[in-house]
Amino acid sequence: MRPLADIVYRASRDRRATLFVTLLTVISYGVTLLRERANAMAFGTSGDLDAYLVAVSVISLIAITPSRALYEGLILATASRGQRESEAAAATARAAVGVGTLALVAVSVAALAAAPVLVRLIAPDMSSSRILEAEELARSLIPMIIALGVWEIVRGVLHGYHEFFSSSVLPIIAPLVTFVTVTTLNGVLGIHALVLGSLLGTGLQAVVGLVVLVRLGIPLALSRSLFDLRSLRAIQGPATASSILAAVAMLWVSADRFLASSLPEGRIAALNYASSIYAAASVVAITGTATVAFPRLAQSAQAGTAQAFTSLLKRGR
Amino acid sequence: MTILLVAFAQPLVHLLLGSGRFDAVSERVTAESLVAYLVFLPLIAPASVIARSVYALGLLRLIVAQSVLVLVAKVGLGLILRDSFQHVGVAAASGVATIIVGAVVLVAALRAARDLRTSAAAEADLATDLPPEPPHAGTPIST
Repeated sequence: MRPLADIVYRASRDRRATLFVTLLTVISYGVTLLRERANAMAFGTSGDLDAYLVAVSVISLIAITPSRALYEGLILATASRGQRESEAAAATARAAVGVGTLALVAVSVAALAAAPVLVRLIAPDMSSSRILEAEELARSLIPMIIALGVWEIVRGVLHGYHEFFSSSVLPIIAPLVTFVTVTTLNGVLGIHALVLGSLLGTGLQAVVGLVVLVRLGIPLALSRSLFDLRSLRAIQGPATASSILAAVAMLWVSADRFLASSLPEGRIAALNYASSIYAAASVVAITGTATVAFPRLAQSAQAGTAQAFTSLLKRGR
Repeated sequence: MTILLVAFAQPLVHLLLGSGRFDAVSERVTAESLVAYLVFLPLIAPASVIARSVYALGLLRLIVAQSVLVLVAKVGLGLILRDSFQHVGVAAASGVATIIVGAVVLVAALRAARDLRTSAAAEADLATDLPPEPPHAGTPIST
């Protein structure tokens, strides 16, 4: 293939892939709205839902902050070409899953003590009965730390292997399972139906993610090499920066809950519904523009062409 | 798009969530919060492109500083706006913080882009000062 034709072919293939991934992301937001509808029907803007949302913020903060620290490095370490490199990449991915899961189990045990403290920090002005409820719900949600953390590791490996289809489709599982569980069981279990749905959904998503990794040729059978720390040396990335960014992203959501905890009951839930609808709208409005702009900005920054970069930033062309 | 969404916020919330225990009060409070999030959307979209530009320049410290700053600004503004505007103030704090920090980051990104040109120009000057490279071994010398 001629070089120019090759470039044109690759550009159109990348554009198709970007469009496809954006479409899957929009679908994922659609399913999240479906879950919100089930929650609205079952719990409205109740204090129970406020307590759950505070609890789930705590759990997400504990799970995502350490596991996303590995994310960038894992992509770099597993993005390989050639047989020899792909064996090393598989060993790194395998060790990341094994050691990461062990670390997440340890974090979960620590979370038994930390979760109630974090609940009080995130929602200091909630009524004492709701704080106690949020603490109980946070304890029930602790297994979700392992599921969410493992999923983050799986996502890093999938991106390293350029498996963007799987990494975009699998996040649909968790809200879908939660939707079904809340719809069918809320009459019997109340707010615990939402807890059960979240646990089953995130758990299933992580398990399916691990199955995809096995199908990609990453053996995950239990053996000593699953916990081989030497294989993790290949993971080099901005771990501190990544975990700060992940913590800030989680705290961004928690900030609304912190601020709304002194408002009348149900405001945390109302802000959460509004934010879910807003997220779906903004993904359509912003993601498209930013996705198109980013490669052009990166290209002009890499080429050292400040004029083009500045013009892109100021005028969009 | 924003005008449409703001104008039809209440019917949209009713359509998406209005059933079961989600009563009229829930609907009103959620719609008010949604409008407070949405009105900043036209300015948040450019702020997102600015944030991406920082990634493109590879300025890791600025990326981290930007995200911490926007969070602090959101909480600070939220505390100020919450007493007067309740849930609407909390929702608006996100948009206002993103836009303010976006403007600050735009200045920083443009300054970094200027440095980009300075270093590119310096490299070009250096290249013209250097003697021409000898032909590589095996390269036929044109006569």
